Amino acid sequence: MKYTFLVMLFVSQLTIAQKHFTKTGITTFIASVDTFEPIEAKNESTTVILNTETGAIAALLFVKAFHFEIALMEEHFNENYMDSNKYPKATFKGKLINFNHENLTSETKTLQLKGTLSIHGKEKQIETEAQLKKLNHKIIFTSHLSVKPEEFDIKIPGIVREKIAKSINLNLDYELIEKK
Amino acid sequence: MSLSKKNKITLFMIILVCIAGYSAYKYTYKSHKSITEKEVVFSGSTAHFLEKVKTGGAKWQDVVVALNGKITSIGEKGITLDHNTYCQFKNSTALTHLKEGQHIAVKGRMIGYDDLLEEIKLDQTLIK
Repeated sequence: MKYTFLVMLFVSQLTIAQKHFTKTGITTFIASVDTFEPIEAKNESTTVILNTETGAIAALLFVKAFHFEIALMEEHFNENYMDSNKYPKATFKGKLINFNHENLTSETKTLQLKGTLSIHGKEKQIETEAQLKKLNHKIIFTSHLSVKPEEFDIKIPGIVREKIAKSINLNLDYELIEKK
Repeated sequence: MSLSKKNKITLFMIILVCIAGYSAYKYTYKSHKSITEKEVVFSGSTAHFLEKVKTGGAKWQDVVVALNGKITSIGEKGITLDHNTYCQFKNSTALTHLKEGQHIAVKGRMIGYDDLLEEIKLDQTLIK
């Protein structure tokens, strides 16, 4: 009886401790062209949850939490392009292919990342690479995405078209800790 | 010294261009409004605020709120109040004086309701 209890406790521990997460992941937005003022913003409040049993990953960020150096740029980003009042969130739901928690070491491994990115109320299938490693019980996840505004129905007026990059880069930088 | 009419006009134009340039610059590079300059739109307990957010939706975005509650966990960059509100700090040295179980009042910018973790998220939090 005593043993059954211990075994059950052990099993329940195993099933509970299967998620790594962060509330303060860093997502960087870069849409600069060489000839104009840099167009860059940082979101330091991205929520990311990784299921370490299946490799399933979910991320959520609030568009208004992107911080631009120039306040006016931030205003335009929210009001004219992203319609943040109407579409406050951007999300990603996907999977790291062939993810195995036990294989993670301090050496960086590259895995395929597939999933659905949702921005401005529009969804798009994404396939990219992600770099993972384990450092002091943290899973360090980095990845890079390249998206086009028109894929998400974001209209850029002709007058500024030349000042904003055709392809927008998103850099993902997440330090995931074990969820208890 | 008296200026000719032509020179007066030129001088006036130069001043006008300077003023226009300066105001355009001021407009383009205006600074971010800090949290202390913004109006507090909600003040009260985290539970009460959560209720408001769940029914009110999008209007509770990018607004400054003052909340009070019990610290239920302390992380590297912020704290959780009453298991339902995460407060991210700009300056993590403010966290060193805090203890779990302590009741505090904070002021921060509401960024949204995080439905992955089912909690409210604030950033730029300050301890009141």
